[in-house]
Amino acid sequence: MSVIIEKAGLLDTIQDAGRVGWGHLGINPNGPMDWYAHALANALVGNQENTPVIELHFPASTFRFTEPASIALAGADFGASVNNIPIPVNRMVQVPAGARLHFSRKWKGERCYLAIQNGWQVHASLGSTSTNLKSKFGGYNGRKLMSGDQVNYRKLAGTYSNRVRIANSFVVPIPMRPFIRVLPGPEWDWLDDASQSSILKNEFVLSRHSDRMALSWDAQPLSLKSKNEMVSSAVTMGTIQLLPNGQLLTLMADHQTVGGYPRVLQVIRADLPILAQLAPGSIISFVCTNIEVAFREWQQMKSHLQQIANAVRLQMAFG
Amino acid sequence: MSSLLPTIYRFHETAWLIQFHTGFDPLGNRRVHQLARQFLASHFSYKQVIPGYDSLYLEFEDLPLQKHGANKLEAFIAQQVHSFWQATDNHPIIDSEENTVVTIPVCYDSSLGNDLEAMAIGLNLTVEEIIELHTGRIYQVFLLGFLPGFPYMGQVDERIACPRKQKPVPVKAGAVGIAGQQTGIYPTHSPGGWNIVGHTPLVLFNPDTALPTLFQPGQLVQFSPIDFTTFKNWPAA
Repeated sequence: MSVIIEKAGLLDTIQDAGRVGWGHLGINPNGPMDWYAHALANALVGNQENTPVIELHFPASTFRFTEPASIALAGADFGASVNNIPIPVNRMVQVPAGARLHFSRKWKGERCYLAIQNGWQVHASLGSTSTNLKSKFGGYNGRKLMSGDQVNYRKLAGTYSNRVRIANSFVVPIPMRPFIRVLPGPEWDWLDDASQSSILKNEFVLSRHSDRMALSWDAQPLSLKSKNEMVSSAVTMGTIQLLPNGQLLTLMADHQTVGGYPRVLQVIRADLPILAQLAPGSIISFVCTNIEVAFREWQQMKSHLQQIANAVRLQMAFG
Repeated sequence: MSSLLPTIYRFHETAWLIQFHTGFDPLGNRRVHQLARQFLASHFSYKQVIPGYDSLYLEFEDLPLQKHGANKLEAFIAQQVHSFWQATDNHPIIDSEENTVVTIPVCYDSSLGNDLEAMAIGLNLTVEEIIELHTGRIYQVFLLGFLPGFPYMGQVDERIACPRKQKPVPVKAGAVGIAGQQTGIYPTHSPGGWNIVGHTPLVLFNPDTALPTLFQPGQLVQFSPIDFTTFKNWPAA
């Protein structure tokens, strides 16, 4: 069975949780911009966390399902409808054979995740189905989805209605907030005192020049105490670098494995989903926290996802 | 060698960064790879291990469940680092892996398109002298990064060291370049700011194989010039 891309979206790619274990060879992990929405979409259809999902930007593709399927959308609300029936995010939805999934409008957020029960059937490359756009491998032939593409999925067991059916809601969405919690980065001390102070007081505007690789910010320029030489060292998603022009750059899903700019802050994992859903022009500020809070918040989110997954599987088992 | 002790930094929820503070020093970098091998030989499994010039990033899938699990893990890391540092401070380990030199064929022919002529003018050398200096020493792969399979190698002879270009230009897969005192090879077509001296017919990155990259961190490398005909007729991988 497959879903056919009737009309391709701006940037729709297959992503699992990321291609890990190869960083020492310069192979960057890719994976979803919003790890939470990605995991949530999978949980809502009873999938394991690392199952391939389609990450959608807006305008998103129009999909036609050749056979019945159980799907879920999480993350951004792009005004989804199946056969012209509006469907909500954060719910499992059963769609009949021939169903057309269409996205009409960007209501809220920037990245939406389309999960299907049992996952999209794509070959793994180096142990992962995430798409590496730069080096053109992984996911769907190493590229974004295009019109006419067919992405396979497994046939559902049992008999299914020829109507669209929407499951009950389990999910309380994460509220968006205008502050991002951060930890000091390895080169935090390189910032001069005035910059250390203003980085936690100033507002930062998300630049249009932001993408899967990094978020660019416009703000009052910051500066270092002295011209230290930074030798390339590991970076990860959420690492905030200080560029030579005094502006900050937050590395996101397509980050490289190492970087040569000072790492002044690190966004806590719990707040990465907020960053992933910010529209250009959004204004935020950074709030310092500690590693214990960061770890606890992350664990709480994982625990919540596990509970949702268990509730869904229970419902799937007993109807 | 640095007189500073290595430091250990809690990078994020599940990762630590070990920093040697030895900058571009090749011996410091050799010790990064030796330490990486020591960690990889332990019973932990890692989500990601990333060597830098003078740093080692260790990321775990999750932290141990025990009370104060993070502290205990950090203490283990610290103990490993300090015992390693003390053991290797005065007598650096010579790993058997470190003796093998990989030879990389490079075609410096102008018909493939390179920056040698411009570099010759800027460096006040002849093209032949640049090639001689580039092929005349054994390099160390400091790390892989920027792109899958891209090796940062060094140090090149000072006489052929030159800064990156102001603006990147398109470079072909296999393009061999110099930036500062580093030499590297682009595994795929890419915008590139390095000064291109030649091209290798070898494949640097293939995700469909068990060993997806030609290079490994810490490897020793030497370049060997080949002519245009040899380059064109090089057997496909």
